[in-house]
Amino acid sequence: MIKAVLVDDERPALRGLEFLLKKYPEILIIGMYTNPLKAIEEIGQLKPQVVFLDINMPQLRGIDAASSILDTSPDTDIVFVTAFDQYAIEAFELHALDYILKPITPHRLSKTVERVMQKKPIVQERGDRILQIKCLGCYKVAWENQEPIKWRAEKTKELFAYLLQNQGRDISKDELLDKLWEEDDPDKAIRQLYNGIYYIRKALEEYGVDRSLISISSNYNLKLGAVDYDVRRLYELERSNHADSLETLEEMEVIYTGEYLEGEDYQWAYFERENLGKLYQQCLIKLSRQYIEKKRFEKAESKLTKVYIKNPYEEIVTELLLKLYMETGEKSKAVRHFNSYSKLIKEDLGIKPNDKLYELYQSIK
Amino acid sequence: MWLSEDKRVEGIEVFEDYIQFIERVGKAPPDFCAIRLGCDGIPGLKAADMVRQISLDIMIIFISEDSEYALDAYEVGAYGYLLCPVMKDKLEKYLIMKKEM
Repeated sequence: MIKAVLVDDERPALRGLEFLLKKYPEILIIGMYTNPLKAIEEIGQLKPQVVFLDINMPQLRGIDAASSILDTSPDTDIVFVTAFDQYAIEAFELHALDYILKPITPHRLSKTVERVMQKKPIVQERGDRILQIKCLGCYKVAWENQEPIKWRAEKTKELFAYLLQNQGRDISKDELLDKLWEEDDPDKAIRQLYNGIYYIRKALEEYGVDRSLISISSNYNLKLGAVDYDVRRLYELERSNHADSLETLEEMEVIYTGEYLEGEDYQWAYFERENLGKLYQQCLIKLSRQYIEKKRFEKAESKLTKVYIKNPYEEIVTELLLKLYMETGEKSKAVRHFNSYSKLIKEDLGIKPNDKLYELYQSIK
Repeated sequence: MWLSEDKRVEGIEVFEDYIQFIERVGKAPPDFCAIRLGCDGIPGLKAADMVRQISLDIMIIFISEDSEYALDAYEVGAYGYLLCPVMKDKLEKYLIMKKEM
């Protein structure tokens, strides 16, 4: 989560920017100011990662405001938002992260947000310890290289996982009771819910996780700060503008170390598990396409085989495998694969390979 | 000349043609590149945009006689914009920053 402060001497403009930035779940607005002097004073304590600053203020020039901000909070990035273009050179001299001209277009703002995201979040709380939340492969919350949090009860653990899956959203009590305590006696369920929230807060506190990293509001709205959460990272990569680049895909593959909440039998998690599984398969398919293009056939084959084991019915996998074997000249492998694929879909689905695959196969054989 | 004398810089290449420049960047991405913007800044800005697409790790700075492209420079994600005449210490500052990244 990126902590942001907005400063603009005109309230409507401030609201407008707030509205635009609210669309980015990764941005957390921790302060809005119409009084720049007050803003400068408080930014020193707030230490936001980024300040959006309107330069046309009567009290002082925006450039000067920016340098005062950098004096009190040197790691903060400045984004100028202004109707004037003549300060851009000065902004470069201050190493301002960005300079956007009003009226702000969503497209231009998305570039700014992407730029903010590219910068590594400042983790200055508690030295350089990073809190890792893992939900892929296994489910644990832990400081890097330390023993994970121990939850008081299985239900507490499940409740935290549910809040995490629905982070950033208000959840009603009824929804929680319905999803997590379906079969229980209502009074008992409510008691367990209240206790569960209490135990989670207590466990986080005892483990040294403060509210800037994980907070839970009275509406059961869980907010994450600068923590390393694998699922969030995976989605960020998927949504980034270079989601299809080899580097991004390789990073995604590394992050997905196993199924979502693997080994936990949570009914409500099935859909998300399915979703993330598909995302991973798509990632592997894209990766293998790129590897084939780059003639790294062994890698491509291993990725495709992985997807095939998970989801043998996906036609594109067989198609890519056949094409790959055609390129490498491994006819016998192609024949073997095609036969096992045909047999499988005939037995399981009662269908034949589609014409395209059949033609491809014929051209190899 | 300043750059080639600088110990921080290993290997420097100069291009007069944007296409050759982009091809070279595509083959072996550098850490740092300075692009000169002339009277018509558009080709230089386009080149910078292509460099960004090749890799986000390349620090781009522009060098120009006038400031009119500074906004576009921000839009393509340049790290710096130096006005001619370029001061040696300002250029060096970027190198130091790149080193520290």
